[in-house]
Amino acid sequence: MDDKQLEERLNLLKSSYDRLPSSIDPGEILTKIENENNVPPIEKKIRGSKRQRITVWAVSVASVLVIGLLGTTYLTDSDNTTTSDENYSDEDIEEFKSRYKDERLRRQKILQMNDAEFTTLEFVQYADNIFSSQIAPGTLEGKNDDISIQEAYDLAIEGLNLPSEMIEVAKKRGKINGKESSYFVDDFVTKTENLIFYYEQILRDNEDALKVAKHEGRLSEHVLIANRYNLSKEIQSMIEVLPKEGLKLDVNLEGTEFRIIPDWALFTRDLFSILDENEARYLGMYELIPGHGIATLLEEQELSQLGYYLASIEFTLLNSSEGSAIHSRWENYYFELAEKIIFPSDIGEILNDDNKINIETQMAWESLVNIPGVSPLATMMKPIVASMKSSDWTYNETYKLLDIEQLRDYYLLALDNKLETNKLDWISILPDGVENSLETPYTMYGIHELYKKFNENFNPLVLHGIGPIDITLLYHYADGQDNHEMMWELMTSDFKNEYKKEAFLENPTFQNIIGDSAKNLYFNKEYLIPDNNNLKTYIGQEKGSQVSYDILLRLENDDIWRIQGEEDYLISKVEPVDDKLLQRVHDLYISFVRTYDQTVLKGATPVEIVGLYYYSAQLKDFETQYELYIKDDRHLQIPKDEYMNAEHQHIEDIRLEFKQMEFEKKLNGEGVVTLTKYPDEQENVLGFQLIQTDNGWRPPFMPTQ
Amino acid sequence: MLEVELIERAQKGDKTAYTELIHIHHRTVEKFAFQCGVQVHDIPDVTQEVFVKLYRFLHQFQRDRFTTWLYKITLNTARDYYRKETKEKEKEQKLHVEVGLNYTTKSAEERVLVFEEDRHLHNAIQALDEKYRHPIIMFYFHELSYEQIAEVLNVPLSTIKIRLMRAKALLKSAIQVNGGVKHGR
Repeated sequence: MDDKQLEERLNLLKSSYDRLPSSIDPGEILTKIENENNVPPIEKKIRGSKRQRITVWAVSVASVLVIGLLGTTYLTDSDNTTTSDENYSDEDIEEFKSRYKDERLRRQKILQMNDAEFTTLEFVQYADNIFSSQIAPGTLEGKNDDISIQEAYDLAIEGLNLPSEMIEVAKKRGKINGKESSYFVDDFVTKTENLIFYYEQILRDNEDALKVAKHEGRLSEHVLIANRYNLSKEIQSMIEVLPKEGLKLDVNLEGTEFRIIPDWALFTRDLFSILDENEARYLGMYELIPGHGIATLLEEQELSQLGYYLASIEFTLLNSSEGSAIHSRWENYYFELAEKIIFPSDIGEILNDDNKINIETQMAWESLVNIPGVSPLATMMKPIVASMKSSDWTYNETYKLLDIEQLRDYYLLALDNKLETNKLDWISILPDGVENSLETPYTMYGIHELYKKFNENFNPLVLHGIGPIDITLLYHYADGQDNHEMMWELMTSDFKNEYKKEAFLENPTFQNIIGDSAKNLYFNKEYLIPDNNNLKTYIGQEKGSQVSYDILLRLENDDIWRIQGEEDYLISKVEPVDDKLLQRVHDLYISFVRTYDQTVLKGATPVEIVGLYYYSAQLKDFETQYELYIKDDRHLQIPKDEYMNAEHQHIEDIRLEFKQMEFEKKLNGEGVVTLTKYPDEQENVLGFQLIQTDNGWRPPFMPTQ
Repeated sequence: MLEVELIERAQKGDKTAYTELIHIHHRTVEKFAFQCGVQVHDIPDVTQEVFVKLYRFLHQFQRDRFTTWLYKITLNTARDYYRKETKEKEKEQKLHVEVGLNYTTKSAEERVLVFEEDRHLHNAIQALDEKYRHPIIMFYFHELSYEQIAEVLNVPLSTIKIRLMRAKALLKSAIQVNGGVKHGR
C-alpha cells in the first residue's frame, strides 16, 4: 500500500464518521453552565484580526485550484473584503451569464467536444461551480460575500483556461514568484491530467478499433495517426487536439497499449523564464514521471540510473514550496522510489548469490552518497555505503539497522533547514592503505571519465566524494593534457591566495608531480592528519627503492580534496610571535609532554617546533626541550644527564623575546627558521637550524650555531 | 452572522450567540471525540462537558485561535473523562459484574463504521500511540494545518511532521498485516 492508497482509505473512513449519531442539546448545556454558577465570560478587548476566515466553498473537485486562485488574488488583499455587489443589476448578471456561455463555448470548440463531453472535464466543472455559486447564486452553497462578482467571474474564466491558454496568459503577465509559480504548476498539471484522463477513456472505449494500428506486431502511434481518417470522429479530433494542448499519443513499453503522455519540450519552453526556477523543475519532472507514478520509471530505467532520478526529485522537493499538491505527490514518489532502491521489500532483489549487493545497486547507492549540499539521501547512505565498502559490499549490520523512516526524519529536518550539509566521514571511508597501480588501463579510464566531466565547466560538485589518490591522478592527467586551467582549479584555496593565476596558467608551479619511475600511488591512513578542523594527507610514490609520501593534499571546507603541492610553511611566510602562535605551541606542548611520542609532532610546522623549543625553556622544562632534539645516529647525540646539568638559556616570555619567525627550506631536507629579536637586543636576527625527519622537523644539537 | 462576531458576542455573555456556536461546532467535537477513542454512548456527555468548559474559558482566547482551543479542550476532556471513568468503574466493579457493556459498545460502533475496512482502519488508528494518533486524526479528518496541530498539541512543528509521517507508515503496515483489502462500497 502506498501513501495515496492510505489517504484514499482515510478519506473513506472520514465520510463514514458522518454516521456518528448526534444528540446535542444546547439548552441543557446552558442550564448546566448556569447551574454550575459559572461566572459569565469576562468582556475582553480582543485584538482585531486582519485576516478574515474564508468560508470554504463546497467545491469538492479541484480544491487545489481554489487554494491557488484565492491564494494569489484574495489572501493577500484581505483588507478589501467588502464587496460592492449591490452595484450589479439583474441585467449585469445576465450579461455575465452570456459572456461566460460564450467563453465556455469557445473552449469547447477548441477541444472539438460537445457540451456533454466538455462538461465531464473536472476543471470545467470547477469553473461552472464558481460561476453558478458566485454569480448566479441560488445553489446550495450560496454566494460567498467576501468576493465580488467581477472577481468571481475572473476566477471562473481562469478556471476554464486550457493549458495552452494558461501559457499565453502567463507570458503576458511575465515573471511570477515561487508561491504563484507553485499554484500555476498545480493548476497546469491538474488540467493536463483532466485532459489525459478524458482522452485515455476514449482510447479505452475504442480499444478494439485501435488494434489495427500495428507495426511489426506492436501498436504504433504513427500507424494510428496515418490511418486516423478510417477511425471514429472522436479519435480524429483527439489526434488534432493533443499537440495543441501539449500532449501526444504514445505506446507502452510492451507495445500493447496506447497512452497519452505530456509532450512539453517545446510546449512549456516559455514557462521556464516566467516561473520560479525551482517550481518550474516540476514540469521537467512531470514529463519524467507522469500521473502513473514511478512504475513507468522503474520499468524503463536501469537501476543504476535510478539514483540520479531520486537525487533530482530530492533536490526539487527541498528547493520548492511545501504544501502544493505537486509537492506532496512528488514526496510520495520520492519515498516510494527510495524504498525501491534502498530498502526493497525483498532484499533478494539487490543481492547476488554470494550475499553481496549487486553492481547496479552499488552504482545507484554510490551516486546517492555523492549528492552535494544538504541531502537526506546522502546523509543516510554515507554510513551504509562506507560500511558496505569496507566489507566488500556484503549485506551487513549497518544496513539492517536502517529503514525508510530514517530517511523521512532526515527529509523533514532538511525541510526545516536543520539538516547540516554533511561532510563525508573520510576517516571511516578511506581504507587503511591503498596501492593504486598506474599501469592498469582501468585506473586511467576512470580518471579520463572524471576529467571529461570536470572539464565541462569545472563544477566542483563533480569532485565531491572523490578520494585523494584520484584527485592526484586527475591533476596528473590534466598536466598530461596541458590543461593548466584545470590544474589551477585543483589547487587549494591557500595556494590560490598565495599565487597569481596568470603566472600559474603560464607556467604551473607543480608539474610532473608523479615521477616517471612511479608505478603505483600509495595512500596510507597514517598520513591522514587532522589539520585546522580539516584533514590533510600525503600521497606516496616510488622514488628509487623507497616510497616517498610527498604529494600533499588538503580537504577543503567544501569537502573536496585539493592539491596543496607544498606545506603552507614551505611557502615562505613571516609569522609574528604572538598570542595565536603561543596558543598553538602550548597545545602542542600539552600533547607532546605526556608521552614524548614523536609522532605527535608529525604535522607541526617548523615555526611551531622552534616555538616549542623556546616555550619549553620558558617553562624551564628542559627535559621536553631535550626530547625535541633529533634522535638520529647521523647527528650528534648528547646524553640526557649531561644536557640537563648544562647551563640553559633563560627566557621570560617568548612573545617578549622574539618579534617574528620565518622558515626557509634548504636543500637535503634541511631548513632554517630566522628569528627576529626585539630591536633593543644587540644581535637582531638568529638562524635556527631544522632537519626533516619521518616525524616532522627537529632541531639538531646546538641549532643556533 | 460571521463566526468571529458570534465569538465576540459570546465573549460578552450573549447566550444566543453561544448557542449558535454550539450548533456550528458540535459535530466537530462529537466526531473528534469519537476518533480520539471516546465510545459512542459517552459522546453526549463528553460533548456537553466540552462546551461547558469552553464557555468557562471563552474570555481567555483570541478569536483566531478558537479552532485550536476547541480541539485542545475536546482532547483534554476526553482524556479526563476516562480517567474519572476508570476510577468510578473500579469502584463499580467491586459492587457489580458488568454485563453486556461490550456488546452495546460493539453494536453502536458498528452502526457508525458499517464497513469492515473502515473498522480495521479505525481500530488501527486507535491502536496507535497517542502521539501519532492525534496528529493523524486532526490532519486527515479535520483538515487542520501542521501549525494548528502543533498549537493544539503544544509541540514543535517539525515534531508534528515527523509524527505524521511515522503515523502513516505505522498505519500502512498495520493495514497490510490485516490484509489491505479494497474498500467494499
